[in-house]
Amino acid sequence: MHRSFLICALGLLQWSTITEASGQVANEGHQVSGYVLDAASGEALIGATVWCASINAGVSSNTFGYYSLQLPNGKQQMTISFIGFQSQSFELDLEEDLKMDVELASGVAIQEAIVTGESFDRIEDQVQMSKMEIPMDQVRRLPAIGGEVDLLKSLQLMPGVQSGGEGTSGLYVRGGSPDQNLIVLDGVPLYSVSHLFGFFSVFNADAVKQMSITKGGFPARYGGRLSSVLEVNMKDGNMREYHGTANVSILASKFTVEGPIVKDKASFMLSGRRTYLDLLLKPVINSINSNDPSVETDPRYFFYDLNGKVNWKIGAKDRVFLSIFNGKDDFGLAATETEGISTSTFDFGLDWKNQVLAARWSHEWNSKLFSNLTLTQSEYNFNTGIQFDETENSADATTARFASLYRSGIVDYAARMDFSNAISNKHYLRYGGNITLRQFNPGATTLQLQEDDLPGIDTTFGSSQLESVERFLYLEDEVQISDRIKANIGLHATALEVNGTYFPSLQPRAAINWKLNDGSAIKFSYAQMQQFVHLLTNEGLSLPTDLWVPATDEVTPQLSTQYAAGWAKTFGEIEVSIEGYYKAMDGLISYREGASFNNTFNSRWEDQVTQGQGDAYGFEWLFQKKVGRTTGWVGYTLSWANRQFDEINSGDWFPYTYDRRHDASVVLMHRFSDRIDFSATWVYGTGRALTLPESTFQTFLPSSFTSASTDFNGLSVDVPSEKNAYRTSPYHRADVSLTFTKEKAAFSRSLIFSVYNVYNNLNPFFSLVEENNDGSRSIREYGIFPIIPSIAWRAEF
Amino acid sequence: MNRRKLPIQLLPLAFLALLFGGCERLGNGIVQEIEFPTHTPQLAVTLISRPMNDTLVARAQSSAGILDTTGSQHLKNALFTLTHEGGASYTWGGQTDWLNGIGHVLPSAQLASGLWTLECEEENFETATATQMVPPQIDSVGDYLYAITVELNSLNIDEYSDGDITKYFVERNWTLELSLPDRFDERDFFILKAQHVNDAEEEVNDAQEDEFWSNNTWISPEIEDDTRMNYNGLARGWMIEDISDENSLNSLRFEVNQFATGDDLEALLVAPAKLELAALSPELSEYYRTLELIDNPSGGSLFTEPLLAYSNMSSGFGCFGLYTSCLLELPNE
Repeated sequence: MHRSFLICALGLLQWSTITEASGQVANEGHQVSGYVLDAASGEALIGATVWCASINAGVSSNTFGYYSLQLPNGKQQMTISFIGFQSQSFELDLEEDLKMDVELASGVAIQEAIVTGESFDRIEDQVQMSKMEIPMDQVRRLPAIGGEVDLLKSLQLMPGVQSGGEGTSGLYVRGGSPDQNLIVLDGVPLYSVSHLFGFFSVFNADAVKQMSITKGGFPARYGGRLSSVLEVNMKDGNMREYHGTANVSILASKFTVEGPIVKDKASFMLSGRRTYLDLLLKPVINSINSNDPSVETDPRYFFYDLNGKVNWKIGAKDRVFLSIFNGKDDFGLAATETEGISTSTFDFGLDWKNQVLAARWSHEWNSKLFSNLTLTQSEYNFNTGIQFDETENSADATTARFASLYRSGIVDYAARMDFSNAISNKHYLRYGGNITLRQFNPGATTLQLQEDDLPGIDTTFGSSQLESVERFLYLEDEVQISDRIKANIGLHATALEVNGTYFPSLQPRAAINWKLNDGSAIKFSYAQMQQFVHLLTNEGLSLPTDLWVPATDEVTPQLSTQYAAGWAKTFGEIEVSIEGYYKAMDGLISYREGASFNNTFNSRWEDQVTQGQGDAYGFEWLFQKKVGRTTGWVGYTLSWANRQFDEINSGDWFPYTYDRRHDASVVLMHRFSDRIDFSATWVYGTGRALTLPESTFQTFLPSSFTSASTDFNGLSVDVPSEKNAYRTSPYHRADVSLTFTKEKAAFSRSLIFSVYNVYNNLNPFFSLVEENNDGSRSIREYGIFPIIPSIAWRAEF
Repeated sequence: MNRRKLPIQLLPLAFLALLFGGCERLGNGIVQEIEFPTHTPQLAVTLISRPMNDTLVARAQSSAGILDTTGSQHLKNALFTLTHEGGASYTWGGQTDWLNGIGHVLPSAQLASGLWTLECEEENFETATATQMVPPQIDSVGDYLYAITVELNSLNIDEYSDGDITKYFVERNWTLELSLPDRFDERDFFILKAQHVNDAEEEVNDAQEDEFWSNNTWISPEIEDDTRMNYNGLARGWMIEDISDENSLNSLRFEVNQFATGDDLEALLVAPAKLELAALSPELSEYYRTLELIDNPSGGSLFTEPLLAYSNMSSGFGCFGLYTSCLLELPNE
């Protein structure tokens, strides 16, 4: 294992040397490099286009806004552009390497020509396929349930990305499950991204600068998950002025402040959000209980999250970023009852918490070589407990206690080094490595029993802690093979060490862009992925009880191979892309028939799961207009997703729960004026696959094994259908939002009216077998979200 | 130019109207009732018995669609044939052998060791067959023997008044060490249960409650989460299985508690605690295991993965299962 890593490392170095040499041979010009920044805030712009028309070549700025482009000597026509900003075009007379930071002004005025994206940034010019991005400005304008804008729900409106169910924020990408999405916040993987049992995500839209999702054709720098990579980057903080926003909606309030610590040198960003359902409901519940003064109840539910970031330019070539994210959900009920001299208290609680810490150091070694070192910690904990105390306030005071606490969690410590090397305009090399120490606590229960005159019990049992070490190296080269053909070829070498077992893996990656005569492009991609963590989850709901567990010698890693082909072209301001994909998966896990998350509380999780395979294939169409007064997109997905487990459904293939034949979305945003914004969405999806009890029979079991065999107990047994043989009703819904903004001297304020499910269509959320008054039974689907209007208020200064 | 202003003041009122509309729609919350295809009834056969000289009771039922109001029906005309691999056979069934409340009864059948084939015929149904190998007789002597050591740890007697009557509460605690046979090339399955067990969740009337306290015995394994055993609520005992090739069932330790109450102390002191030990065929064990998972889903019906009950019948549902058994009586002193 160590040998294969060594070989990879040597190969990587050799490749680097060869390409460096070839780059030097080809180098007959000078390097232009620097950062692309927002002129107003000094923040780096990610993915901005730096284009040189003279040589018909360009690059995109990286996650830190850095770019590097090789240009010939002499006069060159340059254009720097970014969506939503005014482009800059100018002429350079190059005689030597040039370090040049470029600042772009926001194109906020509709009348001004807002950049539509220069040729390099057009969809048909990008090698990367299956990647989608929604500008944050558009995300904030989308209609939102309860006025609470949600990043993940906006992504669910894109083709190939599906929601788990009504109102939930889980992502099901190209037939994959939610655990197969690598969700990184400022480079740090997050393990749980849901608040309120999945109805909201942990991302506070006001704190986020940029997000993108990649569904296939994964470059070699990505690894560890099968289905998608969702990158979310927090705002760095305004380097020049203090700014802030405040939001009040019916569910939560939030604030964001940012500004310089030292002007143009260091900045900060701080953002917080908290719900107040508990504060609103408490008086209502107290008034319900007011007729029984001996009982006091204290229900609670809230979630909060806090994002913070410090950004410090140490010098011209170095930057340091410190990020923190902390989010928690707390749900519970406490009750106290007093009867005479006896007081009994009851407390039930359920909480889950995410914490992410990251320190990043980016360094520009020379005009061609840029690096980034990231040290991170990511932690997720889930606790649930119940406690019952009884106290008698008498001379011989007695106390009794029963308490049970269940804990599970996962914590990562990781170090990662990434290099970007602009060898030449024909080779852009990325390489690096990562090591992650991961600690799993798959679940432990602490039990306390105490009674005055009896010996007490205080014991802990359950699965023991597991540790794993995951390492990877990668190398990728974005190479211009000919005038018409570009490619990104790479290799991701990874290995997991857990309990003395090694799982090595070499994962080749390739993406090719072939430009056609009519300006459109055909794209192909191939990616092998391996995943060393599994999520034990019920397919119906995203619960905080979902348990992260490692691959072990008993439960092997997940694997996938994905092929994709597509066609893309920009017609005026509209990008059109059509993609087809096929993904084969192996090593998937599922609860065994008859098992549930509850089994993992008190027995080995390995015994509750079984492994199998899956496939997913389909076609995706996207028509997207990102700029102008009217923006939006139309997306449609035709797809199939299936699973096969030897121990489920008699070993036969069955449709995955989220096998959705048709999935369509229409998103429209229109700016009537500087004061009035309108947005609307409509979604349609084939019903979810589900298993239902289909028939019943009566059987008989002996009541005793030693007496006469005529004494039996009868038992009615329900027989389930074949796995996922039924479908819920199709899902469809429309939302609208209207925003009125008023500019004041010191700040602007907005009133946002939105209506969720505007035509009041009740969509299925769960189904139940119910007995009717006449003794007959029915199976009914229930919905939970009718039309929901909401109002939110927002101020920006 | 006169610009008409949008009536923003009316928006909150419109929102309230929408909210009430939504609440009304949510009133029953029903999206739809799910339609099912017409169910084709299948045969569900149950024959679970000891091979010793005993009464065989077989039952044939028709399965019913989940929404059918009639439910699973007795098939009183069903005919059963039990054939030994050596050629001997029993045939019974039809209206003549039907005993209400029990099933199709064949008195005094003795099943020789070896392979038996059950065939159930009923008009309009596909004939269902199943085979069973008679499990070896579990006993303290012989080829398939258990070993037991029992130690009485405590005997507590409490006295209390029930009106004018003096009553006694006797509590005994034993430690039991049981070694069960574990064959090299065969899977071995057992059930250990108290002969008198009352389910605390059962609805009990006063008389039953008296009986509950009159003599009740509980068994609990000393090792928590012992992978060799699981409690089965339908069998009301511990299902034990071998988990490795040989000798995996040696020295199983249990704690047994007996509670007995009454006004006759002498009778209470000799009231026996009896345990039943049964050796099950693999098929019968699997039937019990899956039925228990269905009847008592670990995560509730919403969160437990659906499961089809095991069946060894060639078509339809049910089980032909055989077991052998013996009685263990614990010492009173």
